[in-house]
Amino acid sequence: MHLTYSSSHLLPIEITVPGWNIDDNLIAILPASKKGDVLLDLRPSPSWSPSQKGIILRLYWTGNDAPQVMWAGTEWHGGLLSHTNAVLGHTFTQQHLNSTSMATMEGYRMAGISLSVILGLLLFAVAGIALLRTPKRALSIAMMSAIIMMMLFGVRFTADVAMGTVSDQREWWAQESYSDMGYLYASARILKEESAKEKEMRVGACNRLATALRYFLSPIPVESGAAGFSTATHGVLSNVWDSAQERFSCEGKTRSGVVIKSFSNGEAVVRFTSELP
Amino acid sequence: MNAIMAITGVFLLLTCEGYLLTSMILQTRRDIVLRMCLGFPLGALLNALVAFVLTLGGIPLRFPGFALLHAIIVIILGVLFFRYSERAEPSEPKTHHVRIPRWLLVLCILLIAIISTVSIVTALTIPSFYWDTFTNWAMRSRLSFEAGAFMMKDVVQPQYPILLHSLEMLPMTVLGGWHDMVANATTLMLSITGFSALFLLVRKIHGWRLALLALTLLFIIPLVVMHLRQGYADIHLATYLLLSGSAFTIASRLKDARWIALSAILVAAASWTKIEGAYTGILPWLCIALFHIPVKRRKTFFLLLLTLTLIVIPWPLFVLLHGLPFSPHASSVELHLDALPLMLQHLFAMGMFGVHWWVIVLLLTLLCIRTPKMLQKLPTLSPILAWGILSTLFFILTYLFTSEVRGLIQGDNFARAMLPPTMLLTLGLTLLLPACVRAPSGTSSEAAPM
Repeated sequence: MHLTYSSSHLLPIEITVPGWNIDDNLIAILPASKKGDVLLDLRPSPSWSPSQKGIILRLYWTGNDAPQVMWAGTEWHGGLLSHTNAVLGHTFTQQHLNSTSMATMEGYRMAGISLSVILGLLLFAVAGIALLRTPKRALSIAMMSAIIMMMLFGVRFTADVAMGTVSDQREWWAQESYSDMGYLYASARILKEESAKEKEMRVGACNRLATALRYFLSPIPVESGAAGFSTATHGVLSNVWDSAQERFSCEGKTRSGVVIKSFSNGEAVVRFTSELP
Repeated sequence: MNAIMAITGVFLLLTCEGYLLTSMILQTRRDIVLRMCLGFPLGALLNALVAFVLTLGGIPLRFPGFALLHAIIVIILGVLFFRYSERAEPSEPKTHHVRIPRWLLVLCILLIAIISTVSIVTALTIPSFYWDTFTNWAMRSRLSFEAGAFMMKDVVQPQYPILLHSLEMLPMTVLGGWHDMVANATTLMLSITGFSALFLLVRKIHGWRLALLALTLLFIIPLVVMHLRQGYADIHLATYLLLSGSAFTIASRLKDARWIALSAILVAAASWTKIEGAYTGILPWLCIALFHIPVKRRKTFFLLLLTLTLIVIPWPLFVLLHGLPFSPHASSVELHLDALPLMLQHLFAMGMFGVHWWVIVLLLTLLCIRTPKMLQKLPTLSPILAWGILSTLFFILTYLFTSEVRGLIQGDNFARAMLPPTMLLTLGLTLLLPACVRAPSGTSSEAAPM
């Protein structure tokens, strides 16, 4: 993608194309420039395909000094070999695993096409040829090809799970956070320590983690949303970027309190100081 | 340290109970390792029945109640073990070894080792992570443990059977408080012992090479890896069904009612694990058993049916008596053929099943073309494959013709529901490998060994 822009600060941009999987969006941080001119390679995204149409750019900035995009468009660079390499490289994109992966996973893609579909069609082609050329051995050939295809996929996925487990484990030991659950566990631990000081502790969770907190803190009551926030002695909140912050809001309600612990993702454990209504 | 002692104690107790029960059913003292591996999964069923009896008696689900009933069970099973375990000469199926390239066997061992390590590390060192653990499974176990009684309201899906909940609660009654990682350790042990027993059962018929390959092909289903890491219900339901199917296969080879009885107990355990165990376990099992048991021995069938009913029916009755519908999925009959593309996408294009469904469809098609006679005899030749086909049809019809389609559209339960059928079909087709390799002529005789 060829992009001409102007920005007085570092400019984070997110690139996506209609139909792309959200996990495959590309992110780039462009240098500050009055007339920046950059060429960004879109091919690392497993959703990228030569036939893609349209492009969506999301620019991120703070303050009034808005960046400007003068021109953006896609161009072809490199030969067939380079594109083939890029597409083959898509299989090395790590599978995104999170707390809902026990129900659904997007899977691997090459040039926007599911790897399962590619391997499956290849398998059917092999079996079809075997059926035509050596009908008597077609079943055993298909079975061996099937085992090889399943093993190929299995090796790829097992490698991802193993590497993902190692990185999750490191994250857990280093900062008590874990994948998309963030600092849930650290928040639960801190609140448990607080419960020793507070006789009638009630937690208001103004973020997506109320359900999980309820499990870890039981029998301490955990409520979500504005109702829980209003009557809580402690809160688990998002978007708290300043540990000195004293006023906290949740769904239109505001209360004062002190930050017990804030985390790098903006989550914080708060002890409310304002009187309960 | 206390947690390790509690979990070890629970493991030894349930394994011992299940070991004695297996010995009694099979009336043998052979296959010690197999009976030990089957011990924990069957002990988990006995523990669920203990918790249920305590609940019926209004006795709190605390250590004294559990300890008393488990002690009674151990004494009764111990007495029966010495009386019945060597009553009959055990019969052994003839093992059909299949040649598998060495590189493939090495790859299998490597994959199983990596997946097992990843599962053990995740289960034992990282707190609960998957969403349904918080909303349903471990949450209900924890609340029930704290209340000293099974929660039949104020929890998600109180109708769900209690095998996993009572298993997670048992070590907590020793510890006196809830330990998240102990809860995960119990489900991990159920997976480890269940799959070890499956390996040994398959090895009995087809030798260790094919058993190793079968286990690997099950383990590399991406959704299975996810559920092995921190399992709840779906993987355990699948494990019980696979164990039951394998025991049934041995029974059909040996024409031995003892293995059918073992198969019946294991499928009963599936129905105590998840409601789906009744639909995809009990019903297909009865259909296949009808094919296997000759008309003149229908008395045996009805005896099995009665035993199975006595073990399975108490929980649904209990649920109905509490004024709850049998299933939490209040489905109404609706036509949703428009969901078919999404269903196909889940099975063939997304990442949950890899290429397994392509393989299943291809091999079933080729079997239809090359050995049509074999398909006619499928329930007797390959009970596991027949079981997989029946349960697949059940779920496909459920999702296309009822309001349960919601779980497919939201992507929260269709793939999980399809996990046991996928595993049954994978195992069933893998076990056909010797027949395909041995007699590639395409005649009906090639299926005979199955």
